Amino acid sequence: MSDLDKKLELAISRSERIKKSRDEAERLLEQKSRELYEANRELEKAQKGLEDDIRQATSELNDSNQQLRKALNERSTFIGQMSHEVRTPLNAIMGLSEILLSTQLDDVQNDYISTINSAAGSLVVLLNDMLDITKMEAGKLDIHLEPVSARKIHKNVVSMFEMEARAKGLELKLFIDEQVPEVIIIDKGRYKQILTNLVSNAIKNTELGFVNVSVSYDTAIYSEGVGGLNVRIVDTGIGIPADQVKRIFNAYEQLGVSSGGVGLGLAICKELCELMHGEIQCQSEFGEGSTFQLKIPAESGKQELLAGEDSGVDESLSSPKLRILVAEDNLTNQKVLTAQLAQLGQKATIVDNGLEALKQLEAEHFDVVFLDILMPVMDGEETIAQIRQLKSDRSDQYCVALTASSYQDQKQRLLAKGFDAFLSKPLSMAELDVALKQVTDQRQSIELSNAAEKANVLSADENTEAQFDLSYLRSQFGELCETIFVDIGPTYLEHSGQQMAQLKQAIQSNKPDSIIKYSHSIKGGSASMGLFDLAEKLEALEHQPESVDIHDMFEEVETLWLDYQGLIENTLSRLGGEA
Amino acid sequence: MKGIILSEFVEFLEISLGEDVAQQIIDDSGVASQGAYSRVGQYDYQELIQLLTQAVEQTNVEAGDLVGPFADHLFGVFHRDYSVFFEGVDSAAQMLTQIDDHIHVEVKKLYPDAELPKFSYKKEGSKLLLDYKSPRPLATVAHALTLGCLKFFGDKESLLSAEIADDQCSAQFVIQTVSV
Repeated sequence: MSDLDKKLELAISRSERIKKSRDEAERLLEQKSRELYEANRELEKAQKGLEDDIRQATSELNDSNQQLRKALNERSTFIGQMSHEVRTPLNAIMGLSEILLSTQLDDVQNDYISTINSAAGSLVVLLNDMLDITKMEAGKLDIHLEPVSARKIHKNVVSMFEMEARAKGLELKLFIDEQVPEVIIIDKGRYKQILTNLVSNAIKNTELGFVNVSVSYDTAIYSEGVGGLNVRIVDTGIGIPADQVKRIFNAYEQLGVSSGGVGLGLAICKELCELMHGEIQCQSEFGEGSTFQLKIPAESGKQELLAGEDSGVDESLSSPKLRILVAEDNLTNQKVLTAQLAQLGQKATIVDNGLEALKQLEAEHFDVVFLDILMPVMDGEETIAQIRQLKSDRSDQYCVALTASSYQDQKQRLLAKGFDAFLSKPLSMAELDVALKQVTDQRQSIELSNAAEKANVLSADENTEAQFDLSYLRSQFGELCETIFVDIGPTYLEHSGQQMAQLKQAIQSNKPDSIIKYSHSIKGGSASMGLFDLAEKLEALEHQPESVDIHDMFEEVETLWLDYQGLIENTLSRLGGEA
Repeated sequence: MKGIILSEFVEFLEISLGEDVAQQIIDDSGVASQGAYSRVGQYDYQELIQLLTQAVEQTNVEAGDLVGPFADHLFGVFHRDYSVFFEGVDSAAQMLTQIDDHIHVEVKKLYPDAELPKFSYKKEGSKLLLDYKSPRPLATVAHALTLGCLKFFGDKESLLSAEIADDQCSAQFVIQTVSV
């Protein structure tokens, strides 16, 4: 083989080798890419699996979140309903203890009853605070901005505490900088709540020295026209230990603190401040005093925006007599409200529901109607709707909503439904008095002359010396019997008087249902007064409404009733009561 | 054995002995793959021994004199194609100590089926003791590569001793490092 052939052979062999190695490389490359492709698919699958896991976890979290939210809402509703239930007995305790306090009591009794009254008062505050906290947590608290006289609102709050400060020998001063605009736009109720809380705390915690409230205003610090209302409440009280200053605004840290807890008030103040986009701060030196500083955005408003703002401060207790109708189904509440009204020198016609209130309104004129919201047969909301649809002058009847719920939105809602005012139970005498004063303001002079006329009619029968026998009432109420008599006597006269007329009419027109109804009702009232012979005769009527002797039976009842009417009126006038 | 060692050996033969001689060696060695190596392929290590034996026979050059220059060539290729492993490495000792912990870890990721030798080391003062262990009798190649590495980094460090086991499957190299 020649060299050339050999060379050629090697070259061919080399080229084959190179081709083979290239093929081998390509095969390996393909294999590698297939492996990579598979690996990639595995990765994608794994990723998808992860995404599914995440999606499922997210959805589970969502579900549990929703459940938690639902539970929170249920809890909030539960607390609302519970507080409603708690308010009714509390109402009785507060109202009746208040009335007891104005009766003849020895020092020990007076002390006990005051304690009961103030304890019930604290419970009401706690109940309201708890509701506020619950509402805030559920995000259900709204802010309602309205024009308010800046001077008035601060003066009113401070003057509420003047007596308390004076009693403790404290100096209570209010400084209002001249920069503070006449009118500010703010949530009046909520702002007042914060101020009241802070001033009340300052006075409560100060034994010696002063409490100063100073108000100033920074123009346009938030935005055009929106300035900052600054309030500093400085006291020389016991102060707060440094380690507690930060905690006083935390609601849950205040619970279960056996001593030194400040209640929920400050926590609510802070929440309310934040709701109003403001802030609250506290500086305090233990043993030296505290300074609370409020900063709340408040637009300055025009004077004209103020529409007859109420003073909010009690002036005097005596209001002229009003014709009052109360529709309230709960007997305890009826009794408390009646007693409270009596304390304010007022008496009321009480009915059990809205439908009866409407009937009463057809028959008589009233200056004010108090309507409970939750009532059987016809509730307060339906009743107000009906009243507002009455003819001409009747439709503008002044109506006050009574509810055991103090929610601000409830108030707004009811006012929007046509109520003139809103009162939440338990009512204090002061609140009731303020409400009645508003009615008085609205009333015209005709009412006064009517009242005088009524007084004349009542005094005409005043010629017999015979007196009503109080022995039954004494057996029931002891020394209070005269007060109770003065309290319920006029109501009894008025009611059973009306019902006697209705009973008479029912007998004349032969309506057994009505006979049963009225004789039953008068019977109850008479028994409460201790008029058992009258009650017995009425019971006979109630059981035999279709008796042939019905007219004779009624005549006996009527005679007896008229006798008692005379006796009651005589005794009332002797005791200086209503007549 | 990874294809890169074999394909670079063929490359080395072609460069140093010429294409024809290299082809003749391959043909005469009777390697099963016929010398058609791909870098990423996997081949029997025996083929390297067959090629080396054939080359020694054909050229009358001592095996050590062939393997030494091949190691230098291979190291140059490593540096050219796998520069990432040289980043931040400025001494032979540093390179040699990261073979097991770093380079072979990466190689395993790419080629899970690769059978790699073990390079464990310990430091004794300024000396670096490097232990080579392999299922294959290639200690001579490891020795040559170690020298190639020292040379690549400028021979600042030196190989004090090299003990190669009779079966060629293990060896210990002692390197005098430069005190920093």
